[in-house]
Amino acid sequence: MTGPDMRSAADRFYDGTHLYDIRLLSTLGYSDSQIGEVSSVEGVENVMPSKSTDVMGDINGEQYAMRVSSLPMDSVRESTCEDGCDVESSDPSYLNRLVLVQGRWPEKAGECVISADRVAGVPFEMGDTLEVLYGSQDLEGVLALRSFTIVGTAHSSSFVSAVTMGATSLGSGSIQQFAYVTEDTFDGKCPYTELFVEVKGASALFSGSEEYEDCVDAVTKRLEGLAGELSASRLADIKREAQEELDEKSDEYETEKIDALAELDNAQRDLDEAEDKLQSGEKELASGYDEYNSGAAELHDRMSEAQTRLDDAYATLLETQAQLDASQAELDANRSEVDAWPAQREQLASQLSEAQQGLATALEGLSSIRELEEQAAALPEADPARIQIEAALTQRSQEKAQAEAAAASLPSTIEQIERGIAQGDALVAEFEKNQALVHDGYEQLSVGWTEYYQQADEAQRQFDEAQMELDAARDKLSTSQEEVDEGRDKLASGKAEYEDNRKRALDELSDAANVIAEAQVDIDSIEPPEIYVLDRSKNYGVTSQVSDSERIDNIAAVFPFVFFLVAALVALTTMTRMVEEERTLIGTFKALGYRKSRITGRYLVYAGVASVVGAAIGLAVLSQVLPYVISKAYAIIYNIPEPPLPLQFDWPIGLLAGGLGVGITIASTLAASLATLRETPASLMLPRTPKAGKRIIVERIGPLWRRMSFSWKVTLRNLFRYKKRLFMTVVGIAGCTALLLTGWGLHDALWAIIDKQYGPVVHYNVVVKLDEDASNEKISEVESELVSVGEAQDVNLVHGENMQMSSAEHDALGAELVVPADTDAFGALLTMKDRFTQQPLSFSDDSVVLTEKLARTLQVGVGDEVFLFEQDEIGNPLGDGSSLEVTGVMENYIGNWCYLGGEAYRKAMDEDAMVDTLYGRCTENMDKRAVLTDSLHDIEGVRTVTFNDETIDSYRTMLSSVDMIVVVLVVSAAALAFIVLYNLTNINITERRREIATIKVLGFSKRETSAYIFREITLLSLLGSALGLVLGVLLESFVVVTAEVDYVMFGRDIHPLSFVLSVAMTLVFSAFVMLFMRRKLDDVGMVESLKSVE
Amino acid sequence: MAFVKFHNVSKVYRMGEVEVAALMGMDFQIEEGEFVVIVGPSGAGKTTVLNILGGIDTATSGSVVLDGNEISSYSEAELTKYRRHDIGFVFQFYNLVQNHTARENIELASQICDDPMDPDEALIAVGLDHRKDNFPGQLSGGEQQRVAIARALAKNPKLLLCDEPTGALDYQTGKSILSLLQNRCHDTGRTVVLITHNLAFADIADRVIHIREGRASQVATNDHPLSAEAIEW
Repeated sequence: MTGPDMRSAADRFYDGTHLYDIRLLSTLGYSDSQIGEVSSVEGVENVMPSKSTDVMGDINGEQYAMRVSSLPMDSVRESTCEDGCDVESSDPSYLNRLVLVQGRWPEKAGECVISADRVAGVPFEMGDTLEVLYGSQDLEGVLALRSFTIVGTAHSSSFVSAVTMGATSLGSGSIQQFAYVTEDTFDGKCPYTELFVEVKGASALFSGSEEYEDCVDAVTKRLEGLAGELSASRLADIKREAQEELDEKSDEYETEKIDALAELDNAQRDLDEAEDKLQSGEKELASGYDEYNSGAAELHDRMSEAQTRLDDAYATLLETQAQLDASQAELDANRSEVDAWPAQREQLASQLSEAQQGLATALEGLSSIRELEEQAAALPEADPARIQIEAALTQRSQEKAQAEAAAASLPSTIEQIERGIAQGDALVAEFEKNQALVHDGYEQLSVGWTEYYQQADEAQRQFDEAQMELDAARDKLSTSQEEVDEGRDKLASGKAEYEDNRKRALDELSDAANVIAEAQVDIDSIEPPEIYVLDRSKNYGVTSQVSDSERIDNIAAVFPFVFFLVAALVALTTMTRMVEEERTLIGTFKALGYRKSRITGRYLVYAGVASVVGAAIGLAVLSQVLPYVISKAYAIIYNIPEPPLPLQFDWPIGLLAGGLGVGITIASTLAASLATLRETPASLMLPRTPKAGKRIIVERIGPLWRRMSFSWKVTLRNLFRYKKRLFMTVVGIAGCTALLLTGWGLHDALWAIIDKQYGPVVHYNVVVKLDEDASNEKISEVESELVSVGEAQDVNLVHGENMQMSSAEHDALGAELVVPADTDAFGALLTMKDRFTQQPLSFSDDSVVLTEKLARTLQVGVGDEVFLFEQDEIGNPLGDGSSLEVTGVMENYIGNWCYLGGEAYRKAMDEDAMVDTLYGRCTENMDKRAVLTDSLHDIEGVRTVTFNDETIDSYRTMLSSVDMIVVVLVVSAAALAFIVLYNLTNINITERRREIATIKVLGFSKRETSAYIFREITLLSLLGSALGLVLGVLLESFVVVTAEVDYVMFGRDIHPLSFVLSVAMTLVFSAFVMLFMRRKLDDVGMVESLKSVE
Repeated sequence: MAFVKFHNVSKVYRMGEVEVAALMGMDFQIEEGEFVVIVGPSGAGKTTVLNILGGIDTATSGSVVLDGNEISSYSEAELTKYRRHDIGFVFQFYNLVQNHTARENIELASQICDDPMDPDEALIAVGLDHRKDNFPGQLSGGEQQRVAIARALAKNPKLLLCDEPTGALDYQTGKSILSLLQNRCHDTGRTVVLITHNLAFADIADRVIHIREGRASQVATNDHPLSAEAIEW
């Protein structure tokens, strides 16, 4: 009943959240007029337009392929939800209503709610940021913001499967997370991309039921009929909008063109002006130069004139100098005489004084001599004094002569000397006079020189001044010259620039004109949009939930069969025993004259009441508990709220199940009582002839029988004695073991997905996806980062692509295409082998290897043809596809993969496979990985860095939920084992009380007594387990194949340990029952043996 | 020293609120090798005596001694051993295991003993050698009881206890069974205790114990017991 319960829970959730019935996708979006058109279609109750886009988002370092959609947040905010399922809103067109789990609703652009159900590898909190890395399309003009704040988490009925939320072209090809945002988070220009339609009356019908499908299909058909019209009107809208925009642009172009041209003209004019200015400047400069030159000439003239004058003055001065020098020289020549004069004069003066003195002396001598003579003369002559005076006079005669001579000559000498002295003095005076004259001349000359130099200096100063002025003028001129030159250069570059600009402007204008023209062409050639009318069956979550619930139906069909079989057997034995125990009573009744029907009726009523009560309890409990438990397990995959307890009871199935149970019990009671009633009352009154002992088959095998110990013989005898019980026990135990094996096998199969995929098949643990057009440099940069930071080994370059594949037998389905650059080296990262033969597959340049599940779904094998398609946004195959011949089918558990050799790809796609993905085996160290991730993300063009551990973790989470089913199976098996064994042991003991009492009296110890009875049960348990293993293998493979989900292949092998465990658990269960029953065995009193047979 | 000695044995059954005294100070003795018949009306407590003597029930008070061993103080395990080695039991309804052949029924007992009689010998002893591979269902009542006796004998017990062994048998067959028991007793010197409500059996006993209301009302020895063939009832 779990399947229907799951479906009705889903229906309740879908109705409560107003999940769309039909989703209209348009490749070009919708405008209001189409929304109106859709709304007015008959049967359409409500229409909710929404904008959505698929992006790669990053939450705290973990990346998700996610769908960002808009909701009418005003309506969302005022909606209320009491029970986690029914969302009330006053806005009837608010569809796909969300159930808020945590946080609050978005209030402004950039706030989002994300899935409350998606298991996040990296935990996040409210207020964390969701970074949009890139989109499946260019996000320009789609999303106004690239970074959202997570303000809440919610359940969404549009995405009930937390494992895969739908197909996308991003990441691994499936949507892993959703984000609902306000409409203004999207760019204003982004049109509504999809319309959600609620069909009138559909919510009253059971989702997925035929009535529902009919109801929705009618509207779907109408909408499909309308699709052409919608497409045309949308096309018209788009064309009109685009045309308007283009016209605007074109106008803009025209004004801009005019502006640009005017600007150019202005520039030209500016340039011309500058030219004029420059020219006048040059002219000014030239006149300046002229002025300067004439000034300089004048200066030069003046200078030379002054020079001449100065030179003349100089010459005169020099002449004067010369004359003076000559005079001086003359003077100097006489100077010695003059200089000697004083001495001469002295000499002369002394000569003179000498002469004068001589004269005076001579005169005095003469006078003395004349006086003497006169005295002598006066004295008579021969006076002695005269003779002495005449002797002194004679002696002084010479002196007298000399004196007379001197007196005679000396006056002329004196005169002469005096004349000489006078003459000398005159000469000296003259010299002195001349000397003074020369001196004066020199002084005058000196003055002249001074004057000359002053004049010269003055002239020089004046010249220098003039020169300075001139120089200043020249400097000014040269500055002006520079300015002018600069101006010239500037003008030249300005002109060049102008030319450039002009050219550019004209180019741009012509480009713009071209763009406009092209845009016009584009607008004219806009293809009408594709309109997809998708009902819920195209919703991954809805569909897979239904198929999973159907899968449970399949499984559910088998388990009850097993349980019913056992229950029937139990009921049969119990009732038969009851009837037989009362044979005496029956005999008595019969003897008393009761009719058969009366007697039978008594037992039938008893059996009926008992079984009806039992069935009622069973149904009441199991119809609630089992579906609850299984739904709970599936709740991890599907976020459909659990229906309120008690679960809705499915009467037909419940009655069928109950009826079968009751029917079987009554039938077996009837059979037993009728069999008893066939006997005569007399024989009934007698104790029933105990079932006679018989030879058993084994006895006929003499050697074997003889070799057996007594107790074994006894055991075997007993086994063969009660065939019904043997059969029942074996079947019951087999059922128990089979269930256990199914449980463990399922467990193995599920965990094998991880254990066999990662290790035996997949050896890489990191995948780095780059932009499709990533350059070789970037790729080698990533490669070297992987090797250096991530310590990666066996880094392989591949081309990866999400594609669609189909075959002659099967429609297209998503597959991940991988084209390794080096097929040989790729072997280090992926083991390709056949699961059955375990032989490695050859993988070369022209190989086409499919994974097993893909090949099986497509129903193809080696040598068969498959078709490869590119896919569009929503995972529809494009084009006619390229044919490939399968060369190998490899063991693989997770995902549908197609490995192509480079040559095979080239053949199929007509182009070389471009490397855009790197696979490698990197370090296990988490810190290093974090560093690696960061450094890889820093490289431009790196889109995603995925470690297998994340995938493994998410599978682990998913699988541990399915382990719940294993628990259910183990508990069921245990229950079954207890019921069967307890009942049988109980019957065994009750029927054999006498025998047991007897052997006790014979002195069997407790242990021996237990062994005597339980040896049979042990043997039966072993026998049953063995049979159960066979049954279990069948049941397990049925369940595995039935329960298998898309994209995943469960393990096909049951682990040896599971066999051991199943048998061991069965034996433990039976041991437990035996332990329990031993007490009952002990309770059998020996006194029993003495009683008479009743 | 008496082989079997009941001294002041009482047995009280508690049935809900009511206490029912089955034995109230039972006193008697049996000598080894005697063929003892315990007689009394229904409800006098003869089966209780047999049960206590056979180790399948215990006395509430008093002492029971067999061959010098006080079995009234035995633990359950000791009682099991006692039953196993010392007691052979013959039931009114034979209590053969239907699923076993005659020989197997004997083996069932003999295989747990230390010193059993060969099952075939036991069958020969009861004169059913030719039916050893037959199942109980294929044997008559008398034959079944013989097999039961053979089973008891095969254990070589110290004491052979028989609870109305002829109760379910017709007169003639009953007689032959009695005869068999008497002969086994006298031929092998084995002590045999037989309980019955049939007073006629008292004549063939070496010792007769009359029981009435939980007490041995009279214990008599018979110096010249009759042969089983001789009595009539």
